[in-house]
Amino acid sequence: MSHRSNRLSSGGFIDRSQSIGFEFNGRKYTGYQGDTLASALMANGIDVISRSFKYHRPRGLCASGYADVSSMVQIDGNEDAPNMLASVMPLSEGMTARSVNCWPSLEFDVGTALRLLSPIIPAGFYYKTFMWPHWHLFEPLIRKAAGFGHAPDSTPLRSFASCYDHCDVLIVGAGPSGLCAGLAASRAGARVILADDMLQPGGGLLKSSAEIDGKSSIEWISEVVEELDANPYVSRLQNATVWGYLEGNHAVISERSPRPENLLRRSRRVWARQVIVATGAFERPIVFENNDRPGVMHASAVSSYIRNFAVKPGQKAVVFTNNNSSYRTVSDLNHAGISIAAVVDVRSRVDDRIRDIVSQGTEIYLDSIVQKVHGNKRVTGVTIHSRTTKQLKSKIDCDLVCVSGGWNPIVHLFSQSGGCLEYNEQIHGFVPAETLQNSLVAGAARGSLKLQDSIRDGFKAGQAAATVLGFPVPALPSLQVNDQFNADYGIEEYWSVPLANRSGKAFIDLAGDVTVNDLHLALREGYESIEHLKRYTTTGMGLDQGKTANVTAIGVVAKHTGVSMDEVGTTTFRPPYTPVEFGELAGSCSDDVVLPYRHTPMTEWHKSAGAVMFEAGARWVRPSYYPCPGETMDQAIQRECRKVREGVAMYDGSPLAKFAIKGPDSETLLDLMYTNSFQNLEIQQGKYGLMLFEDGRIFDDGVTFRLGHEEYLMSGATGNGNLLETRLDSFINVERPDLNVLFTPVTSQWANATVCGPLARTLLESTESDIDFAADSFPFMSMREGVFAGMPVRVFRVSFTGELSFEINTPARYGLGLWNHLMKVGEQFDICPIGSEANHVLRVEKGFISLGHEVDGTVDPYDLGMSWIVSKKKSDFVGMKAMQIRRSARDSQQHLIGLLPTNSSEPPPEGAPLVSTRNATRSEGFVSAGVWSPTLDRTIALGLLANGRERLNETVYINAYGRIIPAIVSKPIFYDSDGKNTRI
Amino acid sequence: MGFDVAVQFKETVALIDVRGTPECMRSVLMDLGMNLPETPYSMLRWESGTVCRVGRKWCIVMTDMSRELGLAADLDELSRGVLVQCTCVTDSYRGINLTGPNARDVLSQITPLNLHEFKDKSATFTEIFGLRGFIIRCGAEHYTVFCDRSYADYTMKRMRKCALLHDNSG
Repeated sequence: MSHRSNRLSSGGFIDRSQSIGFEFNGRKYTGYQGDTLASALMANGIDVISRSFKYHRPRGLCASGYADVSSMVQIDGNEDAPNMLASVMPLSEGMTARSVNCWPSLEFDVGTALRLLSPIIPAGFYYKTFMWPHWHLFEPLIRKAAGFGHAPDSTPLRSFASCYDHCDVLIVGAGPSGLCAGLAASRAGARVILADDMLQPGGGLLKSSAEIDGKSSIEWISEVVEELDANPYVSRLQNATVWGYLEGNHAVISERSPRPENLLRRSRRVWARQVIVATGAFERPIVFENNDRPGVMHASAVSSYIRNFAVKPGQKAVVFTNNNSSYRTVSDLNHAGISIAAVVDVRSRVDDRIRDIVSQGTEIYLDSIVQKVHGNKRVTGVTIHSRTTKQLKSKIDCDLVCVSGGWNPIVHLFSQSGGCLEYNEQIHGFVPAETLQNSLVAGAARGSLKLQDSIRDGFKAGQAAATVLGFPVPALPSLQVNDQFNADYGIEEYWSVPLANRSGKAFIDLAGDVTVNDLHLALREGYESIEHLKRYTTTGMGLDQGKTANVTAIGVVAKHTGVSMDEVGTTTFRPPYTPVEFGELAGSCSDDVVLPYRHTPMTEWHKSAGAVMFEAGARWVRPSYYPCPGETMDQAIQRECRKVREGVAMYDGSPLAKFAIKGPDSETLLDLMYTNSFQNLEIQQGKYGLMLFEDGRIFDDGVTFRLGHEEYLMSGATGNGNLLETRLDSFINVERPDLNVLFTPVTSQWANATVCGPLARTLLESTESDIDFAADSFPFMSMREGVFAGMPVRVFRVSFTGELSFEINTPARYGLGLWNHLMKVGEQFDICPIGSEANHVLRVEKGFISLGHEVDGTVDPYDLGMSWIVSKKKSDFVGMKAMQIRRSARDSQQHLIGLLPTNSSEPPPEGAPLVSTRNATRSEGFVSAGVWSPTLDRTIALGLLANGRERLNETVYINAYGRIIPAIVSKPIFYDSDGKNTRI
Repeated sequence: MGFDVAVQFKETVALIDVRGTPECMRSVLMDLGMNLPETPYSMLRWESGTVCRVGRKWCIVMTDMSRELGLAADLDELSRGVLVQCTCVTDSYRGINLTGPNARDVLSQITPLNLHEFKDKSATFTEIFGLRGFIIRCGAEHYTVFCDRSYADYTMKRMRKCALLHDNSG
């Protein structure tokens, strides 16, 4: 297949010896090493790259770098990804790309029919329409129409990664000011990270003909880069975008060409002591009718394609400008042999020096505007009007319109950091003002648009950053900058050409197809705040987040409303500065390591025994139940429960949170942390306790044993381990540093096998041990240390099941051995392992409270009927005062109650509201746990009910997803109410 | 090719968690022929073990498993009546060795620690994949990460992933 070739015969930073084959929309093309996908497409004569978001208008390349939203494509193949910008994608062998937002093809797109509807789908139309009969009727279609591309179907061959880094100075941007800042900071000895989002360093210098210190700009860049790369304290990241500048001088960088090569992308999170923002400036357009036609380009982008990639963006050009910088492009067009049909300048005069750049014979239309562009899939000509009289001046044939409306300093990151912006009347752009973090701004990003100013800025910023950090700073080098194009910026503010034709479309924001008329409509409808305008019209909400559109929109609003730019203000700049792939955010956190998980020494045993595993809080993966062949979940749970009530069973209690406490003030600490008193606790005795939050509500419960004279072992709920540790740490080190007490978390040190059931003692006594398990010598709530089956153990007599129970703890290395031993000797007693589900049923039968169920952050001990555990003698404990205030309020409070559903074999669902009559809608409480009790052979539940303790035997109604279940209120204990079974 | 690094579980070593004032810790350790490193976040090797000072009032003593019971008993004895808490935490942690020229590149994916400042013989508690653990540097290209034992399987799997010691092409 032959294509029109727009490749210049020489120049550019491409390697013509390395040809690269690629595919676009099913056709094969070739480019060169060093090309972007966009430059290769342009070189192959491809004019239309995509279709626009709303009206499906044909779009071609219009800007450079991350500002070119029209170059959005879908990448297919092994590393498929949506929403990729061809303008920044390095061309690679075999790359396959296709256009988005078009069907069935880019050339023939059915969606273009939407243009016929354009009069009735202006900005905000979806806020006014699709309301009848219901928005959700239309939503799927709207959503489908709104999306670009599709998410990858499979895992990419290469990996995503994320990493952390630290440096003295982070420099964002490797243009002239960034490079100079890097030189200054690194020469001072600072550790520097220099991140630049382009494929090669140099920024605007790459397309400059200036000489620096007698060298061409390219040679100078090479020398600087060589020096930086030779410095081991400098990390230079190319094709890497700093997309977030967060609190604490913390920046996030997206590396698009990381090493080693089997990494696809890497997110680098950097903490920098100083940040230098040298992000440069984006050229902005002037808005006029049909300014989105393929062939209408930013002037600087035209220069980039010519100088960097040796591609001719067109054959015959018109330049439309309001400032002097675009005359560089005139020079580049001449250099590339592109004929210049006319220069249209909104200003009434230009300097002779500037005028001289334009070839003789090319007319300069002063005080003129491009009223309209002609053509559809490519520019075919322009209509030129007088700016002041609006009269037609000329119609000119051309296929390229180079537009420059001035430059916007790239202040996104500075603004993200919390820095303030102000409007600069000299450059007609927003520039950084007050900074809130340790940051400096250099070069075009702060409005220094001339090369020599930018270079000086960079050096100064680098030196200033190094000086602040205490590095000895060498003298500022004096570089001779010889820029042939040394003209002043000379901008005259001009944002938008008034439309001659009301139905014409002049686009402010190409990403969202937002027109000038849309903005005017929003203003007419009363949206005056720029933030409201943004949301109503979606200006700046597209893929580029308003990189080129926002300031122009502010200018249009300011002009329309007659207020200053500062008064209109900017919208909020938020991360990410450029699109970031989810894979980068996830890094290595994917596949089977998405979330952390915790194992006990017996986890593999549980799995091999067929246990159904689940996450049971604090990331512990625990057995839920162990189904026998052919058993349902309910059958398995009931079998396990019966085994505990009638025989003997065992569960893995290792995850229980545990803390070793030591010191003469240990007792005082416990008395302050718990509601009850720990005075006079005997060694080897334990006590159950409740901890409160400062607000008087229950935080945690657990049993604490006294191990020695000043030593204790505290346990807490599995899910509360980390929080409990934080509370202890804070309490001991911050609130009461006067206490002579120390603590160490030991949760993972100990494995735990809990043997429970009437035969538990018999089983343990059948194993050789120096521990006497007899009831008299080893009573309930006591502990023993010794050797059991040759393993060192601590055995605690505590029960969560309501049966005789021994919690056997051993150092984790012996855990599996202990478990295996107990299963083996337990065979004669027909022992079985039980999971968390059976445990849950058993504790509900017994009326034991559980974190996350009855203890839900809203209850105090009195609500749960546990006033017995609140000491009346202690003068203080955490939460005491708040609890007393709460109690004195005498508001209607919810009490823990039991529920006996009268006609349901299905356990009521947790969280189901309790109401007083069948048809009542006001909730008076809720079900905290509902189970089928194999012991009672019926459904039972626990719940919290307003004034519940005064409502025993009353019938209330459980609203189970619309199904009303009557239930009789009972005491919250259904089994062994006097605790005999536990104490035997 | 992934990173040039080996990621392997470390052979179990005895770990005793020692907490208390520097003076008290020092007095207890000196009786065992060891001393507390002068500066926090560093470690010192002694004949009877290595003392990793991971905080102003906190250190971890490492030694061979063969010495675990003896050391624990000695520390227990010496810390009686002194405000020093010595707790055997051998089973609380699992060590993972990272060795090779790219050890730091892999470690930088695991912890937000400033590795430029983490010189040889440094030791500190930090985040490991957002979870608490401690890291020691045993040489130019050798780090050991001690994570909570319960997270060891997860940590190892993810560390190997960071080192690209897996093949997801098939």
